[in-house]
Amino acid sequence: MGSTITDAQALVTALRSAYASTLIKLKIIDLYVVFSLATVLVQVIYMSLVGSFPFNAFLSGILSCIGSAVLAVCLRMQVNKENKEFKDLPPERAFADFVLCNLVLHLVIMNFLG
Amino acid sequence: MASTASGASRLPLAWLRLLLLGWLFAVVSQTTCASNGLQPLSDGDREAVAGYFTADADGFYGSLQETYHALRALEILERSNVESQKICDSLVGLVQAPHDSVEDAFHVVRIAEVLQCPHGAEVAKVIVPSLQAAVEKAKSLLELHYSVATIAIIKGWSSKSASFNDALSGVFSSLKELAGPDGTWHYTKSSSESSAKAAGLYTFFSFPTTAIAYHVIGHIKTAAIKLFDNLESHDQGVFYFQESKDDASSGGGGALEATWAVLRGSAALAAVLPAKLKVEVEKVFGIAKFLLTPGLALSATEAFYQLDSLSVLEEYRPAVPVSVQTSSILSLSSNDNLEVAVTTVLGKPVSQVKVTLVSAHCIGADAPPVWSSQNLNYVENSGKYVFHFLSATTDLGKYKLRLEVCSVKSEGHSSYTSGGPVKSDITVISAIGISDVQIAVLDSNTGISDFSAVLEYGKDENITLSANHLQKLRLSLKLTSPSGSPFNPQQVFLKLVHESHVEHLYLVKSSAKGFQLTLDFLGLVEKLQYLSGTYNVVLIVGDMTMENSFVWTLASLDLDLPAAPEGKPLPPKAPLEITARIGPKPEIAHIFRQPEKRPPTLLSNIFLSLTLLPLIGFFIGLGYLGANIKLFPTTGLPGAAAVGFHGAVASILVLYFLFWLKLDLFTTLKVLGFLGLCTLPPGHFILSYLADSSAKQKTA
Repeated sequence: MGSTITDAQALVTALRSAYASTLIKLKIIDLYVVFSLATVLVQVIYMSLVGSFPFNAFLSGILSCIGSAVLAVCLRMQVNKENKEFKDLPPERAFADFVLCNLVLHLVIMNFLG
Repeated sequence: MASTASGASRLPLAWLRLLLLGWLFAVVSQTTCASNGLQPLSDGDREAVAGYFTADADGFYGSLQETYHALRALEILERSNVESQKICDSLVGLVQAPHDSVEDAFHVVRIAEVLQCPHGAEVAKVIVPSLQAAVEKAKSLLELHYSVATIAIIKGWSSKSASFNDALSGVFSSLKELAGPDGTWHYTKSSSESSAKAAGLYTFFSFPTTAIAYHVIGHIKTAAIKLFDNLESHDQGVFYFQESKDDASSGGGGALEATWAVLRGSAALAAVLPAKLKVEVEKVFGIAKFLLTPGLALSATEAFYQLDSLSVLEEYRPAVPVSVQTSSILSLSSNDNLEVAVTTVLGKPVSQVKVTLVSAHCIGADAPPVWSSQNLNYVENSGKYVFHFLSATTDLGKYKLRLEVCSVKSEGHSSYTSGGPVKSDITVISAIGISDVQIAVLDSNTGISDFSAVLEYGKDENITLSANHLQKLRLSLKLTSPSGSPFNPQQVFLKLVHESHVEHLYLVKSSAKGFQLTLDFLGLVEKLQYLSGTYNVVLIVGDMTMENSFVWTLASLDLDLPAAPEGKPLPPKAPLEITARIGPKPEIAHIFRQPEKRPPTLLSNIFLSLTLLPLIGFFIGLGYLGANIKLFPTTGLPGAAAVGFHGAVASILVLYFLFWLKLDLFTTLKVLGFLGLCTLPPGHFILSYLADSSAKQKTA
């Protein structure tokens, strides 16, 4: 039992130190993802409290946050220089894609919001 | 026969009441309704028509023509409240005033003729000189008509009638010019429309026949025969003459006036040539039907034409239409005779006909006719022909009769026509005997009667019965027709009426032993709605052939029923008034879908602020991470492009916000397209600029 805890602690410390070495750009994107997911959590708690009456509003709220999170993850994948797959893709292009997809997503969200 | 309570039928009460009332009314009302389709001028019509004519202060009824119409109409209606003396005295004065119109002279002379004024000679003396000039001048049909007709009327008053013969030959040659080649007549030589309103034929033949050359008669006769070709027919056998477009020149008047003119003309023609003018009987009959249409005359002029035509028809040479009306109900108890009334169109009785009852069949039975080929006897001075139809063996019910009315040939009288054989229906009714009326209360189990009474119809005995739910009520009675056989009426019902006006109706069934009904209260408890109390027991018997259909309160019944079980709501009691039953129903309150429950506003606001917390956390985290915007270009084109790009994206977000609030999708898409185009150039520029600068940095 004790070893498991110490193992977990060692794991966390290792992750933290490894993470510290990532670029700031990527950390910003990570922070954005966490922010989106936190917003989703708040909405789900609210829904569980008061019921899902305007269900479309609930869905569009959640979808907006999750959609943004997903697009942010895609952006991170494309911008990360260690990712061999996207070596030839300039990060500005990825950012432009991110902006465009967000705009389309939010148009749909606004329509569904009602 | 114990008819179980569940088998007894309960009928809607309002329907039953109406039926019974209708039958009672039909039996009681003895109006004659069977006829040959021709109803003579009714008293109501006479009153209405007479009402059109109101005299002025000087005794006249408006213009000369209107006065003549009124006087002639009132003569036909046999009203004598005209001031003939006053009118006659003023006529002479009217005639002396200078006038150019032969029409005025025509009307004056006609009025004098109708009232039989004694001043005839004076009037004639004044008119004759101007009349001769008018006759020579006359060219159109109307002028000819007026001039010749005036001559015809005053010939008896003046000694100068011989001097007219020369003028008349000129008239006839003018007349020939007005006749069309195919026998039609025109108003003037130049007119192209023919008119059935052959007014000209009217009084030409008032002159003695010796004064007219035969060739003229021959020509006019062929034209006259074609008169009836223009007859128009309407449905139900009504015939009339249609007006032509030219009739407006002679005062219009429509079909009524055209028919009047043809009738007058053909009557005058028939007086001179009785053998030559053949008119089909059904056409005459059809014209009579037209003239007797109710409400035909809507003004004084139309009333005159209707009445004058009818008076022509009363003595019409070809055939006089008669109206045949039979009595419709014969009562065996009062031993009625079958009466057939034969009258002219104006209601005068006709005695020169022979009325035969061809056959009389009982409706519904295939038996041979009850009567055949029987002559009816005339009752003096009444216009009625009677026949002793009923005998001791006549069955009750409806009979179909076929009558024939033939004219008795005699010199100087026209032949009468009834428009073919007359069909009519009569009903033979009688008083029905009611006997052996017995009402009893029996015990359900044993069938022994606890109480029974024999009632006699007509006597008012107040019998009180009492029963409870373990007993039965039995009613039996016998109905006999006058011939002694059992009678089966259409309605035999027993009604129980509670003191609260709730009614229950039961059918009393018939059998070989008479009528019987047994009400088992055990089974009826629920149907009677558990109402205990006093009931009136009412017997209802009715039939079309029954003279004495009745509603008879037999007895009063004290019924003891068990109380209603708990929880069963009693149906509402019948309302007293029928109007309450058919009045407005209670208003329906519609239940709409309830709106969903929404959370309290405070809670929603709390969570709104909670949602914004992660955003704040994001910005704090950004600061913590050391994010910066150092790369943001500040000068020159890149700066402008960067600002433009961010501005455009921000405007798109604002558009989305407005879309959520109030815009619709189409507007949004249009604006979005525009804004997207605005975003593209700066975005492309700044991003490619940044890409280039970072590439430069790498290589450098």
